[in-house]
Amino acid sequence: MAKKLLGTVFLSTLLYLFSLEIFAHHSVAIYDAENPLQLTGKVVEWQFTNPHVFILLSVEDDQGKEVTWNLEGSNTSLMLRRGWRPDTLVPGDEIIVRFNPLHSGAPGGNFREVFNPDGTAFDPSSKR
Amino acid sequence: MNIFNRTFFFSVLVFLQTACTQSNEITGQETAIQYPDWSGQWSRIGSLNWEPEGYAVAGPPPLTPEYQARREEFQSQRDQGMLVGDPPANCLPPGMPRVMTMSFPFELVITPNTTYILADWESAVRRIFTDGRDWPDYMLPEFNGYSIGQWHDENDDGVYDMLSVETRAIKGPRSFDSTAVVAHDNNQTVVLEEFRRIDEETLEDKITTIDDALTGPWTVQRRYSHTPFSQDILWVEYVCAEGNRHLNLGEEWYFINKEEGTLEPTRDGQPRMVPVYD
Repeated sequence: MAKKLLGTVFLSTLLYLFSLEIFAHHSVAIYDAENPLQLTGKVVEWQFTNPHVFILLSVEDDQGKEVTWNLEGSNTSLMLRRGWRPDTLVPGDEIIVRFNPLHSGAPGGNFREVFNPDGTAFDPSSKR
Repeated sequence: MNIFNRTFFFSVLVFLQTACTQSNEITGQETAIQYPDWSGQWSRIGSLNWEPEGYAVAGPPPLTPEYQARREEFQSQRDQGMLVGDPPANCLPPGMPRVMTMSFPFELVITPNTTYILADWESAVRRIFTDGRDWPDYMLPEFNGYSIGQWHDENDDGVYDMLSVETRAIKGPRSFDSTAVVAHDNNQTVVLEEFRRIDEETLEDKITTIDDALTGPWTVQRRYSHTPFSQDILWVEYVCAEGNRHLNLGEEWYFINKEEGTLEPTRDGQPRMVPVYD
């Protein structure tokens, strides 16, 4: 158990370092890295653009209203090398996204990880 | 001289002439120094910024008190959510020397008159003139500046192995990396570089920056790993304006919400901007 936990921590640290690396050819000061959020929602649009890709995610807020979050990712060069394509996500896909939110509280952020609805890591190659 | 002797004489003459010509050609080939093969794809080793790998030579940039204060002010504003001191954040090119951090891979094309650095980042091209020219009377400032280079054969093996480069006429605003260290507003930066292939897999660029934001020359080194040319090499277009969401208006920074047609605040207390139509 301890070994498994250690392995998970090691992997998480690696992933964290890796995920930090993928989004820093300019500063990420507008996002709050110390208070990450996680939301479940449906993809409204997947924008495979530079300088960074975007997931537009529709999420139901506390009042039952649908709010679209603009979640910024890495650049197309690195995303492509990691198996992402312009058609990897399509409208209606249900996903969980972990991201660093805007300091202001506006519905935007810098996404770090994407998961399937069952909590497993999203594999972009699974869509091809 | 009978015909036999005459034929023999001319044969010997032709042989000597041919041998002599071949000898000259061989000598010519031997004395012409060859250009190196640095083809393929080069990818940065280490961080996207100079720290910590690039600071190994001379430490962090030796900022003047004025520019150190500016850096601290930028860092304080960043803590609030503003992208200050980082021109590429809203799509200005990185310029020299920052482009050599090489966020994305690049290619080197060597010709006798010019060496080209083709960077995927902002699809930037650097032309390094190696044709022996002098500095022009006027150089229009550009983000990558105007570069003159010279090839050297440091180990005298007949193949050039070092390219020294001087770059002037560099346009601003620029930052040295994304850590809020900016070049001086006067844009009088001069950058000196030495490119060497330190082993089969590695290219090194030793970069010395002279800038009035610094108390003296600042030297960093950047290394790049090699992928030999093949059909599997991936080059990816990068056009920052395509999907940029970061907007600087006056002293404020906003996050563009294209779908709502609004400018979202990036810091606490900043009002959201919603267009009003009469």
